[in-house]
Amino acid sequence: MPDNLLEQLQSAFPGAQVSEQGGFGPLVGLAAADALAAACETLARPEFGWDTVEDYTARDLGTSFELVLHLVSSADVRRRLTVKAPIARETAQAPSLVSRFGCAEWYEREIFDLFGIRFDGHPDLRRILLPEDWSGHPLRKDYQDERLLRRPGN
Amino acid sequence: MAVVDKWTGWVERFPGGSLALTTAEFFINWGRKNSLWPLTFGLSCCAIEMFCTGAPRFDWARLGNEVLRASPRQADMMVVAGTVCWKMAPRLKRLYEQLAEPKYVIAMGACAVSGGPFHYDSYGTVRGVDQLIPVDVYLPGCPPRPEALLDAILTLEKKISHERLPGRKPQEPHPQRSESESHV
Repeated sequence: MPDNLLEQLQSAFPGAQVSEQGGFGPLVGLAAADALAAACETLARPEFGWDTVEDYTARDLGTSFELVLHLVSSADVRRRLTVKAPIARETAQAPSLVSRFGCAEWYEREIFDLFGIRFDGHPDLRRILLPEDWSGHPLRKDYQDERLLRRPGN
Repeated sequence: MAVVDKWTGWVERFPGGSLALTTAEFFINWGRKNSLWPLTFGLSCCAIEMFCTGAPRFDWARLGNEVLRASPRQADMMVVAGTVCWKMAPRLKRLYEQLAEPKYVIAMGACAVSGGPFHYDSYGTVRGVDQLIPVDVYLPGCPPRPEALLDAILTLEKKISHERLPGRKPQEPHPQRSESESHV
């Protein structure tokens, strides 16, 4: 990692929180998910080189959701970078990355399936893991299911 | 003659020789339990142990579990080896319904018995395959060793040997046969 990489990232993303820890490689915490597609475009440029989506998931923080995107460099697979972006719980919408990264399609379907986050511009936003007639999104903290049995004592 | 001596269950002795006299029920059960054809059906890690049981080291063909059939219509026994999730549940039920009668089910492993490690706090797992289909033999373990699956198959064979033809009363112990002999 170049010494001034964090400064470069900070200057490329002025409104973001850039830190060295907290993820795979450096962490870029964006202020809003709307900037995600543009941020990926910037990070894929040759001076950064993070041009491949390795993993894409989400977290439920209770009051909001957070998208977690792991990028990897196709030139050097040891170079990784984590991008995080918050999403309001009420809207639960984010722009899709499929037009830029084809492999994000199934990741976004999985996030939609388990968290109920809708991706604008996704070509085929259906459930991918659960049955088609499932109701609810099980990885949300407020998920309710009468079939689910809670462990006694928890 | 030496072989026939061991089959005391269905050889009746007569003065001047012996004759293989038996009931249709005993004979049908004897045929059924020694020619179970399992369905090729594995769900997760228990299936690895199941295939190992079919491989030469353990060789469940010795027990008449001859060939794993690729079509449920050619099989009459199903080893539910692994975790059953709600998405798999309708498929599993359909496979069971396509099995040829009479059909038998072994629930192999903790997941198929009760949901196992996914019994609590899991939104996707069926807590025991007996919520979907009738189960003949429950085999606990995570996963059970191949010896345990062989024991489950022997238990199932023992169960089949006690079956009654439709419309007959439950079996009473044979007056001339001991309990152990009737399992032959």
